[in-house]
Amino acid sequence: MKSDEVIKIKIRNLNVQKNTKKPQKEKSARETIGNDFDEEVVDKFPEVLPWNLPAPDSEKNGEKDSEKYRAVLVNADDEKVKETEEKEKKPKIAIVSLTSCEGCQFALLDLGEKFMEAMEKVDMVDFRLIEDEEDSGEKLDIGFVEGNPMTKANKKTLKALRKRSKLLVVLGNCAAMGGVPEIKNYQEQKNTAKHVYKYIRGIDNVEIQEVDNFVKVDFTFPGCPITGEEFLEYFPMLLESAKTGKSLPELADKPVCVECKAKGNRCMLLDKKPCFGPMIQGGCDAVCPSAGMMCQGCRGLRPKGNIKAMRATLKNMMTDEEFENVTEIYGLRDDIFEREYKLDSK
Amino acid sequence: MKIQINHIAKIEGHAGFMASVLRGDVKSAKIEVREGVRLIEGILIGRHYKDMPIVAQRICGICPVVHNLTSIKAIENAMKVKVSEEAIKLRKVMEHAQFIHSHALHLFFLSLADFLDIENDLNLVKEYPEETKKAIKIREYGMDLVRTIGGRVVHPLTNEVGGFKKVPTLEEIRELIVKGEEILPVAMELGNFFKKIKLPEFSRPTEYVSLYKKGEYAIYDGNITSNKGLHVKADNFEDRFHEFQRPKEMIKRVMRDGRTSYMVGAIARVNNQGEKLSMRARHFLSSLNFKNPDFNPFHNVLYQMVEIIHCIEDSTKLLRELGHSDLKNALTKKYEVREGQAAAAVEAPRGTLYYWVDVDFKGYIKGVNIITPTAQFLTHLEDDIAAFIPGILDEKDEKVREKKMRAFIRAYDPCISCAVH
Repeated sequence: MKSDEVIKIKIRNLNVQKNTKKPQKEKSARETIGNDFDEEVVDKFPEVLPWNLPAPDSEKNGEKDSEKYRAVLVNADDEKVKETEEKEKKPKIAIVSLTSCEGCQFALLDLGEKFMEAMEKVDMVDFRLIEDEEDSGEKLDIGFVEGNPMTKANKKTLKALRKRSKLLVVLGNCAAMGGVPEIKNYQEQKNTAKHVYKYIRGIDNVEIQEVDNFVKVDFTFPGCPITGEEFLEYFPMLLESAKTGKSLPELADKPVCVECKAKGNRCMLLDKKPCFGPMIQGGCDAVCPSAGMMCQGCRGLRPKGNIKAMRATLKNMMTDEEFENVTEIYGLRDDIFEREYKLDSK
Repeated sequence: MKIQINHIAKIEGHAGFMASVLRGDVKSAKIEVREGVRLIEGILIGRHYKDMPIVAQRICGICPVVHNLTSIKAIENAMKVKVSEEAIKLRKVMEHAQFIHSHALHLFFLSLADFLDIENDLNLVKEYPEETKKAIKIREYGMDLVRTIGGRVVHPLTNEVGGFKKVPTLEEIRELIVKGEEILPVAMELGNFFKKIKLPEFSRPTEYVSLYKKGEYAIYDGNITSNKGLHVKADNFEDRFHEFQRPKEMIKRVMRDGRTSYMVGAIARVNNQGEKLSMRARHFLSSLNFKNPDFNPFHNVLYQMVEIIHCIEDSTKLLRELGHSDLKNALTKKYEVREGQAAAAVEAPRGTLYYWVDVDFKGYIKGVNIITPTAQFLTHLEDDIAAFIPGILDEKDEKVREKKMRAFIRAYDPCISCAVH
């Protein structure tokens, strides 16, 4: 009886959160896409902004002039021109990290030579794990972001990245779904800090929100951490979309079970052991079930995942409370509630 | 005069640095943390103990193996769960592997460029292609070990309370032994390359704290000892090392007896128990001609190289032993969930990692305390920098001065994500 009551209260809390969260979500997304400051300035003093000044003649007939430019410089230093030209042609990207374990950056770095090869095709403007140079803040083709925007500085970094990037791509569970820190939202929320700190004054302890609550997200690499191979697969497509403006790639809608089966694992559900595989987005090579661990859903719900059937199956293997506890680990719980709410209201 | 670095790149996590100097006297030197609070200790309370290793290892993306392992060990100590010899050996190999790939990343990709005056690793790769290949190879060997035994490199999966969910096959173990034999000479060559690099001079006598166990280079268990005569069990760690929080600060600092700062990590371990390293690591160490104790924190980079050689040799030895035993013994056996509270300490790449846990009779967690290496040496790092600054004040060029400071901070290999958890 008692535990049922607790769940009911928890559900109620969650619904309250949802109601208050919803309108915020839409508003903040809209706010952040348009840059209000610039618009104001442009309205008042259109002439002060460099991009409103008449373009010099040399830029107007671009190609011809750049050829002239090349002809002059070829004599001076052949190789250097080639190098700088290549650099200018290469798409610019940055990998930025917010509050996280930085495991997704390491998942990339751990690809070793494969990663270096992929990076040869682009101009890496900012990746502070491997370079000391200051980021000049230039425009980007793709901005990658890992981690959760928890601090004010994190939020500023994120918004600045969105402004300067054609595409904003999210790396990993913390950014996409809130990650492990989101457990706080389901528990004591702000009070969780009291278990850790004696003086909670001055500690920036906010509700955990995913990146898409603050800025528009163009593509998401899910997982805790992301799958390096998957990154390599979609990276060229993303570059292509950024360059041509063509439609963005989409992850294939397949459950974890597809890869799990291909690996020859015995289905855990058959042995009455819980596993979230059928409702979760695949692409992780089913690492967890292959290591004898249930899928806990770090990659999030797949678009066509049948939650109701999944929950009915799991009812025989775990209690509702256990189910909810597991979904909390990777911030899956609010997504499931949202999906169920939608299904019910239909 | 103020010395300020807004963002220290090429370390794990986000931090800046600020110091104020008045007429040649360093008034304050402070690492400023720019990381959000994830409250890992707080969110674990009320959760089932089986969630703890999964959540806790997500403190750090570079050393998840040790966070996972220490939380498992703390729970096992609290619930009095016995683990088989084979499981312990597999865990030790994983820990060695963690050392190898974390150290190789730090000494080559994060720190080396500082001593060669290169700003970007992509340039470092171009200028030293042979050495880069070696460093990558060594790192890949470490990652191979974690992948084969743990199931995945970042956030491994198989290790759990009571043993392993899945063990590698004998075939896989044999492959790893062969790889280990191949990689050892590569590591020795990279070591010789590092020997030629001129590291800056600096020295400040201090206390070195690490694990210590009779008969082995202690990284998996042992008592906590120091070169100043301290010797306590892991359970009594918090009696001698006091954690405290300055208002408005997110990192809880740790001081020995609440007073003095101390150092942990590769430099502390090798100074405290260097005589127990594997044979080739000992040879390499003696060829460095460092005195013992050695108080130059820049040498931390070379001590990490010593440990890489030791870990490769030792893990190959352990794997050979595992090749002759029944690996199925390492699988988790049934155990009883009991209430209790206990501590555990292991050596992480950056120093002693300490966990304390309180579990109730149903297996729900009532209390957790995690003390990470960076939280322990952060105050020591600030004290060291305060002593280091006067030596570089003659430097007129601000950029050169800043560079030297960054090199100093990076030689420590701080992990800010671990420190604020």
